[in-house]
This record gives sequence, structure tokens and C-alpha cells, in this order.
Amino acid sequence: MRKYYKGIIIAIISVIGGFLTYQVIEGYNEKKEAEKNVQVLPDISFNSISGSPVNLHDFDQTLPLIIVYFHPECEHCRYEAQEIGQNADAFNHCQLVMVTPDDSLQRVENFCSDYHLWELDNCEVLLDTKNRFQKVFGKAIIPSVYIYATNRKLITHFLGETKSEAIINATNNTFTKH
Amino acid sequence: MSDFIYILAGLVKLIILIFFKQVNTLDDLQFQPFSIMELLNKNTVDPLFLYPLSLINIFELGYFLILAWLLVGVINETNGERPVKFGKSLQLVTTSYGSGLLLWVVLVMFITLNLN
Repeated sequence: MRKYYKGIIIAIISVIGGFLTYQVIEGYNEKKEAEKNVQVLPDISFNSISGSPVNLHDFDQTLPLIIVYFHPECEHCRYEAQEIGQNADAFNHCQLVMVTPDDSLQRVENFCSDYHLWELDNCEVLLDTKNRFQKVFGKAIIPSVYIYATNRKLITHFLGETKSEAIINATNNTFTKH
Repeated sequence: MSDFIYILAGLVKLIILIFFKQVNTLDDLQFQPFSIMELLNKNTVDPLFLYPLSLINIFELGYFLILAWLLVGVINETNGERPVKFGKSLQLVTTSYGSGLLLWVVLVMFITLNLN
């Protein structure tokens, strides 16, 4: 009987260990694949506020591209949007693309109004209604910032709340790095 | 008794932090003295492997050896007719504590991967 229980315990531990190991290997491979994919701007489309599809390659290729992945209810994203709104002039030389997985159009519009994002000519807000962003960019946390040079190669990315100075500095480097 | 080695590890870390290492950020506190991680550049290592590489250190190795050594005495005291040697005891420690530790490391890696 004792041997029987011992066998069951060993089997349960082995199954848990095997499952975790499989998940870790799978997750690590996915992460590496995503890291490789984002080195060049992925060919991916999101919906604009009006509902029309917009591809990330559609934006002006002469400007560096800053992609901000956010959610209107996220406190850190509010801070980041506020920073961008307050330093709008510093972002004049680049194209800002704000992507959100939020399915409430009203909430997204309120967010943009609160932080004066509508007033920025070079800012586009896109809706990721099918959660494609995370599939392509990996497990991007909210907020995340991806900065692409004019040749659409990834310069750097920031995970989590980021000061606008860091983003501006990175975009300034885009002119020298390609 | 063998757990005392972790107190020693803590003391060594404290001494290094006070006398030999400059601490600027919270990240500077996250290191394990005499571990493989200390031989590598932290920026080049994937965050997933930080914990496993930090765990391979002199103190962990010492814990294995001391636990096995102390276990020889305990086993022989209770089972005097069939005395065990250090090697057998080390094997016992490796299969029991070692497998548990391995499972723990995989769990930490799983959590790290899913939270990052």
C-alpha cells in the first residue's frame, strides 16, 4: 500500500514537473521568436477609431515610428499619455501610434480627450480588437513602447511605464543609427 | 543544522554589500555571492535564467554536502546494523532535496516567464 502511494506521489510530481518544463520551453521559444519578429516593423493592421484598417507600414516612412501599447484603465498608461501630451513638441519629428486592446470605444475616446491626444497631428490611435499585438510583439506588457527608425528597424523598446525623456532620446538616436 | 549555511550566505552578502559593493538601485541588491551568475554579465543573460544561475553557488553546494554528511550520522544512529556511507547519503539528498529544488526552479522560471 505504501509503495502504491509512493508511486502515485512520484507520478503526480513528475506530471507537474513535466508540464511546467514544457510550458517554460514553449514560452521561451515563443518569446525568442517574438523578439526576432519585432526587429523589423511587423506587417500588421489594426482598426482606426473610425473602423478602417490601418497597417503599421502605412505611416510616413520619413519619420521614426513610436508605437505605444496601452490601456485606458491602466494607471501607468495615464501617466505616460500625460507625459506625451505635455511634451508634444518634442515628438514633432516622429509618428506616434497608440495601440490599445480595449474594446470600449467610448473609454478610448475619453482617454484621448483627457490627455489631449486628439490635438496631436502626428498621433494615431488604433484599436487592437483581435489581440493581435501580443501575438506578434510577444507578451508585451501594458504599457510598452517600441521605437522604429525610418528604415523601420527596431531601435529600442521599453516595457512598463517610461519617461518621455527616454523615448525622445531614443528617437533622436534613430537619425544616427541607420 | 545544515540550514545554517544559508545564514552564512546572508552574512557574506551583507559584508559584500557594506564593504565591497556600491548600491545605487534595488537591482544592485539582487545578487548571490559566489554563484555562476556573478561570473556572467547580468545584462547579457535572459531574465529567465537569472534565478537558476544564481542558485548554482558555493553555499547551495555546501548545503548538499553538509546535509548528506549530517544525514550519515542520523541514519547510522537509528539503523546501526546496516551503516550507510557518505556517497549513499549524498545520493539520497540529491534524489529527494535535489528533485524538489529542480521542481521549484522550474516553477520559478514558469512564473518569471508568465509575469514578464
